[in-house]
Amino acid sequence: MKADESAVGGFFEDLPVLAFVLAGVALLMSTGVYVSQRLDEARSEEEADALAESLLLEVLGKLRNQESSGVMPTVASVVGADLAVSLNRVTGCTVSVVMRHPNVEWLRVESFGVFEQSRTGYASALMNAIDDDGIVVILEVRVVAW
Amino acid sequence: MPGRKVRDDCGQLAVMDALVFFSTAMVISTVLLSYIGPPERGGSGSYDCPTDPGEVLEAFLKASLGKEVRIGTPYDVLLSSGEAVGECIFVEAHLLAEGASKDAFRQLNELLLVALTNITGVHSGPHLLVVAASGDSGSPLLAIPDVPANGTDMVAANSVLPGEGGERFLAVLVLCPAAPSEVV
Repeated sequence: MKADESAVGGFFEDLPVLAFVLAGVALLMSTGVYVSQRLDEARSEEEADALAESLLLEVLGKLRNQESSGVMPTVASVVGADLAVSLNRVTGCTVSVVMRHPNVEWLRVESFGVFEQSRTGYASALMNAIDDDGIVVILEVRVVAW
Repeated sequence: MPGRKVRDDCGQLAVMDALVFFSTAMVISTVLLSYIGPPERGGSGSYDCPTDPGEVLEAFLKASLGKEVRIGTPYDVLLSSGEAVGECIFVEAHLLAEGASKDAFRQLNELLLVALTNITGVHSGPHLLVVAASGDSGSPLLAIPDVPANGTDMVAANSVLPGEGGERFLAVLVLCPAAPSEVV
């Protein structure tokens, strides 16, 4: 075999070219993968939050209509409301009711469905209710859905 | 002569092309990464408190005081725990508009501030302002705890206070979330 010195020289000249090209390709590929993962996570978060919002509206509708439409519900009716009928059909969620005024107090925490290791969504809303002494209190209804 | 290498200008041009390609790849990657922004750490919102000022204000004005409050001299009136917050603020604004001293309502204002902080959370920095709906006066009649300083992250909502007579007052709730560095 006849050694070709110019070919050997050309090979060593091509190495940095190859290095830059490979580095550029690797950079583009890794950035593409990272961006697509982040966008996918963001989409999952938005879906989970949207689910939590829709469940919250259902829960609020149920809690506010405990007495009768247009009448402020009582704290007792909010704590004792049966949410299982509406919420057991979904994958899973946790509903909690917290009194915010005049005292801060956890009134109710209830989970529906089976917890799965996935992205969760959160939604909350305030509502008024009447306690046993006739005081109008402020309740916060929170829903965590997955 | 063995080991002698031939210098090739075309090889150097290829290196320049590869550099241009790499630079272009870096620019494209930078643009893509800036588009999606930095990763959020700990979530963007607080799960501790509601952040919609309109919702907070509506629920707050409909709620009861929750405990008895005394309005000081010269009125010396005891407000019961069942009085509606919106009506109490209306009465206070009405008396302040007629020249009453703010000291007479100190206990009421402290109660309102504590209530707002419980509802919105410590880090939301709630401010409740009351102005005459006619908008004649330059400064608010009532500011609990004070007029908020100008900031870029404030959110606000307003509502007409329920009350009798021809007077109308506007309640404005301003939430000034604390910057992440200020949160302990």
